[in-house]
Amino acid sequence: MEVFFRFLSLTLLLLIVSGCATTTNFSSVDSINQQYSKNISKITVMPADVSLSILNAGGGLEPQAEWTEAAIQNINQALEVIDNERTSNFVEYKPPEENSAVYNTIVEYERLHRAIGQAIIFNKLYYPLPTKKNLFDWTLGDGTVAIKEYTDADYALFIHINDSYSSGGRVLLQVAAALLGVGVGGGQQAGFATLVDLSNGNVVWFNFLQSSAGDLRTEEPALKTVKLLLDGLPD
Amino acid sequence: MIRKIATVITIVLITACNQHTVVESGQQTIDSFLVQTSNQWNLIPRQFSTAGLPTWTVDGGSLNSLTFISEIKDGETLFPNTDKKKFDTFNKDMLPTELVELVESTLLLSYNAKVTNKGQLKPIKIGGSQGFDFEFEFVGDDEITRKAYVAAAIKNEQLHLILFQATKIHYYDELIDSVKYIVNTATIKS
Amino acid sequence: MKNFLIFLLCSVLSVSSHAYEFKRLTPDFSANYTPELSGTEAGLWMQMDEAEKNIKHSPLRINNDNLNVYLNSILCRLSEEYCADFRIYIIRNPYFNATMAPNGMMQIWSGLLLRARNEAQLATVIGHEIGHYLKQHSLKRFNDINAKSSFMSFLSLGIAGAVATGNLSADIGSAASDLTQLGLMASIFSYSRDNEREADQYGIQLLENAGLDNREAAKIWENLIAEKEAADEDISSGSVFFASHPDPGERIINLNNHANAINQAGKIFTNTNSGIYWQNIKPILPLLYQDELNLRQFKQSEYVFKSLLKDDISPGLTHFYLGELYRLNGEDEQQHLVKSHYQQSINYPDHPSEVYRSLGLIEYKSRNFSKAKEYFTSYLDKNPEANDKEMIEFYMNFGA
Repeated sequence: MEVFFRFLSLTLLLLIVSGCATTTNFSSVDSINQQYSKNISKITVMPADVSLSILNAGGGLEPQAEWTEAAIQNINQALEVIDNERTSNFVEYKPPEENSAVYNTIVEYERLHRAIGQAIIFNKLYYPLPTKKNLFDWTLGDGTVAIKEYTDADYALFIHINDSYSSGGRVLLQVAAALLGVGVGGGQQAGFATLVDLSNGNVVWFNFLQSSAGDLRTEEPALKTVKLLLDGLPD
Repeated sequence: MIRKIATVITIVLITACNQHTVVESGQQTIDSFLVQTSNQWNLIPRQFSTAGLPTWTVDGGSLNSLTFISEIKDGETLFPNTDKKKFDTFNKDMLPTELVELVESTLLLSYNAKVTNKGQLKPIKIGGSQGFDFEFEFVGDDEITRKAYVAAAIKNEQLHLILFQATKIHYYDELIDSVKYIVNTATIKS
Repeated sequence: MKNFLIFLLCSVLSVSSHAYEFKRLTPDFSANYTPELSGTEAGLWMQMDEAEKNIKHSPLRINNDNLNVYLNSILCRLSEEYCADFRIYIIRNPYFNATMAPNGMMQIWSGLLLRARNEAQLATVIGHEIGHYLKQHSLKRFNDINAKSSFMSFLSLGIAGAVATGNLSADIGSAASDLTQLGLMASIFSYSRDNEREADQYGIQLLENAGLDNREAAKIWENLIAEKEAADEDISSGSVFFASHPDPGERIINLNNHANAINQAGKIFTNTNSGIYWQNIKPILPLLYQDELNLRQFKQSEYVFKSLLKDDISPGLTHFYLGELYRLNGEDEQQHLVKSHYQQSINYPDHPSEVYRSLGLIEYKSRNFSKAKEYFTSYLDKNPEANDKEMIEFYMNFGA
């Protein structure tokens, strides 16, 4: 049941805004916390977390396989373009050795990041926590120092495209849409991007993208989508 | 099937307006519990709370949550509306060791989770009643490790229980002290 | 789902009039296969690789080195030159299941390890999964999907699961995980009957490579049927494996036919390697028992535990868990069995220290405090770092 409510609440809101690409930006850059008034630099980009849409047993299995393959390439290309346009370039991320301790740490933090991202969307946008009305203090905790030491970056950009809720939720989305008489294209995407201060794990910047135009299978719209997703990222 | 989905959508639409509300620090009453809190919490709207029970959170239910379970009678399950054939039921003669099993099995079955580590089980007093607390780690469907802290007492043959759950990384450690403050200042009305 | 199975059964019966003919199967491609870097297949592999990374580092993966090495060795003996194409992962999930992804990633669920009686039976299942891979069943299935029917079957499974647990909270982000989804894959994608028959046959052929007794193959299904019957359950319910695979009765017949055909043509292997199997499982057996108990499926667990007792598997541990099972089930008429099993457990060198705690609690609740104290003392002596030490000491002092 819980699965249902989670999927449906996100689904319904996707429906409401479907047809327009919107980003909602929550940033603690201009929040109470003074230390972020300085320039943010040395950002490393974690490998994009692209969800496993293949496991969706619903229709459109084949296109989704192509989508994912192309999407990853296009996202990487888009990031290169964006990097070149930036004032301070991204720090290159080299995937660690499989059996190293930091590899495990990174896998754990990627999982936690997914949960934090979902919590921010759920608890800031849709069901806001009144105690956080003027506060944006979600954090992964200071264990991220291990990632800081490994990457030699000060911040990490986590990108999550097509959240895993979409695998089951995508199916529900199509059903819900059919019931409500709303047309929902097969290419609905959602994603979020998080900028984390690796010295303390604090989320200093967060962007949530809902887009029905974002067809990541082709290059140009992919660049547009990624730019939207990273709109407002500290330069 | 379609009817089921339509019903659920309707329910969600109707309840979509229920939002979190502030729980101020200071004295609070939740069912049979009278507690002191040292910080602000948020009350999670019923449709998202743990089994529909009164539940608080600081950063969002999937990251941390504090649930108050009151007045469970002999023969009842820990969570309301759960199948007695599947879920363990409370027995007024249960010892803490058995109550640990009751809580663990209820959570494991509800979340399709597995216990990955067990902490200490200790006797404590809750508002003058003899009780106990314990903690354990578990992993659910999302493969994120969470930690649970439980404090409970039987008073007048009824079980009263406080359940704290949080992600093992960061949020458990961040909030456990304020949770223990609540437990230490709690009294159980009956 | 039930109607679908009835449909299957009818279709099965209509073809069973053909005379049995054994035709040896061969792989559809050679070893060290990787797909060309374009198209559906490549996309599939990439996504499977991503899922695999997550599974490899999942907290629900059983990491016991020795056990992983052992399973890998079985895998390699069966698959020979294809060995390097596979990786095997043991997943902490107390149901009987095994899955094979198109990229050679295999999952064995812990419930299977509790139910296979020997190496030959486990190898049967591993071989079956290898068969799916060598005949590219996954890939063909992906390319051939009937969107509507698989859509509905995914949906019903998801709903059934969510509703069954009665969970109403948003406490845990239940974003479908790789493990859950890949686990569901076996039933969602419902390989065709022909695919399943092929995989079964291939599995039996491969047992030869490992020098294992192929007459064990049918037994694993016979045991599963017996377990379900003991549980008074529809055999199609519960185990994910059953939901996706065709009629077990037909399988048993076919497996026996294959085994006979192979054995008549050549040498019969008699190795089941039961001793080696249980020696390797032993370190995780308490975990397997505990996870099974936590399912609260009394009759099913009773059948499994009693079968293991009958086979004389870790009697000290098995008696203890039988005692726990009856205790937790709480039936008045069975309570005498609780103490009886605990006491039998103590007779064996492999009894766990917890049996003393359990005996202590029985005495304590009956107000036999000095007897309780004796048992608790034994428990703490054998388990000085017990996580409930303070509580046990509290019982001892309180009852003094």
